[in-house]
Amino acid sequence: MAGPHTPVSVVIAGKDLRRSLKSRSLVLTAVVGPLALGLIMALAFGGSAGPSATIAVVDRDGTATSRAIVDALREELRGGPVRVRADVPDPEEAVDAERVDAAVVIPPGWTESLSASPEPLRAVRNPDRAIPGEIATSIAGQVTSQADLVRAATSTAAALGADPSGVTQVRPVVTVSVRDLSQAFNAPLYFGPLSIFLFLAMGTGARGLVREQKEGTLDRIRSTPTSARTIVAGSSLGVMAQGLVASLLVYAVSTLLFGAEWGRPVDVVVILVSFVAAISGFAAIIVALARTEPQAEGWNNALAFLFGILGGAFFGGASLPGLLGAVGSLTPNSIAMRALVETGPGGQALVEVWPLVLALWAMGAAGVVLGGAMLRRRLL
Amino acid sequence: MTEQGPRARVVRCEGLRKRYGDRVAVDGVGFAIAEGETYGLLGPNGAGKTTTISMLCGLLHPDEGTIEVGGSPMTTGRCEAKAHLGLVPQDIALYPDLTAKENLSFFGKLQGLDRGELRTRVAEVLELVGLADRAGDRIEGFSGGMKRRCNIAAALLHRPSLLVLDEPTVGVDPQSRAAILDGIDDLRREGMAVLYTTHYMEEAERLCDRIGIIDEGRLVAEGTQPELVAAVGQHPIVRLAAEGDLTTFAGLAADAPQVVRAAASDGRVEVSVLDPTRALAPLIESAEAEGLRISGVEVVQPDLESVFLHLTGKALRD
Repeated sequence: MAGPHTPVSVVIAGKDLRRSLKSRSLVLTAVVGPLALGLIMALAFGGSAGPSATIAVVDRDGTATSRAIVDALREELRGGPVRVRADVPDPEEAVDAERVDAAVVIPPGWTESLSASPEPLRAVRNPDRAIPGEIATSIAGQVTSQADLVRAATSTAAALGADPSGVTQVRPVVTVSVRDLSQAFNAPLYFGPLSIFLFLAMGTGARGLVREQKEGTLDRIRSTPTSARTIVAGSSLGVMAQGLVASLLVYAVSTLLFGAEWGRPVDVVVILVSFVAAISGFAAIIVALARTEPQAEGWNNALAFLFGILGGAFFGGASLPGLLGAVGSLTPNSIAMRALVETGPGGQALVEVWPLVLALWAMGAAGVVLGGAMLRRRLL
Repeated sequence: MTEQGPRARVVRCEGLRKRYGDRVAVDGVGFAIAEGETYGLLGPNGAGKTTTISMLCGLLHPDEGTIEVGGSPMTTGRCEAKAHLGLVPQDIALYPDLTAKENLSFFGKLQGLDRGELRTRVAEVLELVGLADRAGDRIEGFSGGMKRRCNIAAALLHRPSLLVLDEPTVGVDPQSRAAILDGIDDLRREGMAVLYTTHYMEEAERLCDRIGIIDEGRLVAEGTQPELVAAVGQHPIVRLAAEGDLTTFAGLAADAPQVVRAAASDGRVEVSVLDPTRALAPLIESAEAEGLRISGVEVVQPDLESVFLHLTGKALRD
């Protein structure tokens, strides 16, 4: 409820949010839709017929122990959803060229480091290959942990006067399944559909001023001491509020009911807000450019699906190959997806992905300012 | 309609002009409305009423002319003048999916009412328009008359000094119409200035202290109803429905005493007379002498409709 000194733009935004929640269109379009689609994709990805990932294991140590590790990994993961390749000389190049989905690197001197403090294995990730990246990180982590356990056991045996050579050599026992991974980090499965449905719902919200003009309520608002700038700002704020409510509901429900883990809550919220801002910008431009409301709706829906497909919404965050992938990486969907993947569980801090967040806000600010000014001239 | 000496002018507009391309929609319109006065703006469709009201309410920028409401200049942006204004648009300008109370609260907040005042005023205006028991119902479930009443209520929340009503009774049942007209009368008595447009001449005659008639963008006449009737030289009309040589009879009747003019059309002769009680009998005798077979006689006193017809050449509903 607005207080005695609530800014008029907030009053207008609150009215728009109330209307969209009352009509249930927002919840149905931007919450139920993405959750249903995300859940279906999560279940599908978790099945035996789900997608596979190719992980390169690169032995830069070149010792008998490191070779044993590579062999053990191949044997351990045989028959599962993850295929291990040991014939990749340059992991960074192979990941960038998408010949493999991710890589695990055993660094030089790794065997020597086992007696003191085992050097961690390194994962090479492609931001557009979220799940394989998580698998590589998981493998690297599990092997390093087991190496550390062996080191601790060896030290303990030596301290107790026992023969350390009797301690079991490092033989990684790693378990990887896409089902496990999807439960640990399946935000892309929910964010992908959310990014499309949110675009659809926010486009409806952005057309609110045009509808109000047609229905006569805009004239009534304009006959009050309210500036055109405030009316447009309130409308834009209302669109953002609707997007944010829908995003947070999808985030909360997928986390609490479906066990999805998106990452640190503050990071996720900041990225979702930034994405909502970017979508608001595109929606505002579309409404300002379209000559009629149906035309605006058509353009908005087309762009929602175009951005969704190019941005990898239907592929669990994976990007398309070649030029399409390059174009897709510029879409707000792809940028937000990358930010979510980078800051996902065990990922980077939010400050590390600030260029992505900034890009989303830049899109939003440019669109809202430009579209708002055009709309103000047309309607007010 | 009682005279109480000079009253403060709430609205004053002068020399309003608005052009759309080559078409002049409003051409030099000007009028003033005092507090406690109801001013009727009448004109056929396309005459310039809506454009004038849009400029008066700050929805449209005039090409020329000035507008003051409550002593402040009216602009299309945020201005003090709009705080004195309550607009009742012709169409229902409410959110159908919100309740009456939610609608009124929203528009009250836009007028700057604080929470306490808002609660009080929403309850008061709902009571005023007879919708207190429907406050929590959505507008989409209201009848046409209830929507109209709520449409008016939304303009009264901030106690405006000028209420602009654009055809507020269109499509309203007689009971609701009577309630709306009574309510407007009450507001006028409380000192509110009212600008009223309507297609219903009887409403204008009942409500309006003064009337401005607008046609083709120009204010062609202005005054009280008696002033308008006198100004356009309207006289009582004797209508004779008859068969025979009506044109010849009209020529003869035009030269008769008490007759101002006479014309024949559509099986009848219309004769403007100075005093129908003195003119009627000689006219009938003359008609019978000319061999006309009279089937009906009607005496019509001049009213706003005939003034309007005389000035614009159109009926108000045209």
